[in-house]
Amino acid sequence: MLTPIRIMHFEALGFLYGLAALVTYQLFTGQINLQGLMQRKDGTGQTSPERIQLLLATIAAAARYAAQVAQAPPGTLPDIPSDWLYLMGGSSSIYVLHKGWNIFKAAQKLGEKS
Amino acid sequence: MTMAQVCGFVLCLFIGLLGLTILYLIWTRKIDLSQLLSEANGDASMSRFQLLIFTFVIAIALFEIVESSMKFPDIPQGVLVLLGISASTYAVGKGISYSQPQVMMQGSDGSGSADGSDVDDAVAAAQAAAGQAAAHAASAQQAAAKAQQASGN
Repeated sequence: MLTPIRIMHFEALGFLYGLAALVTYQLFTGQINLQGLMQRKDGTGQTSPERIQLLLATIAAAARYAAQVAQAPPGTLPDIPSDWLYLMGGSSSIYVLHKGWNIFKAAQKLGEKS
Repeated sequence: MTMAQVCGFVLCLFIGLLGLTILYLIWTRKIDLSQLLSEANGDASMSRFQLLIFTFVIAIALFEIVESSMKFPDIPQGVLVLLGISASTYAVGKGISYSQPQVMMQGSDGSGSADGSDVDDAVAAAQAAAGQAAAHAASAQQAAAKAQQASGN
């Protein structure tokens, strides 16, 4: 027999997966704006290597963690190995430092023009 | 059936309808997610994208574990650190972007006209249009009041 707890479980599962599916669908069909995701924001419109490396590191870390969760014993949320944390910290730092440097250079150019 | 069970079913019905309504409104675009990953200048933000991916992965993992064991597990320190790194990247990136708004607005059209004059023009045009609309609304109200007076007489 369906108890309220069982019904609530199906509702939460349906909502969470439904929301993830909707966001994924809208990302792939272009309804969620992805324009300029890989480009520098300094006005040059160049492809940005630091953004690409951050994207790859993010996808790798997310996939690795999802695999860890699938293999973990029931009832425990697996920890993330410290080397993956170093990877994400380094990758994010590279992205932020490049972003800061590019914007600083672009602002200097603007100052020289004006 | 006890009163507690009835309340449980009513609560389930309410939460289910709420979830369905939210998903339906997203599907029909009445809840607009098109700017979910966009910065103020309209371009997509990598740090928002990163935060979105990690949030979904960890939320689904947490839900599956709660569902399988029916208790809330301890959150490992590594997960908190990962979410902290992601959120800090987002916050620092946002701070860098907003520290130089002219550069950010320049990047949105890629044209290189960096003085933000297009934005200023758009704001001025919107303000002028709003002023005109307010004047038209006032004159329409006056006309309606006169018409009411005339019909009363």
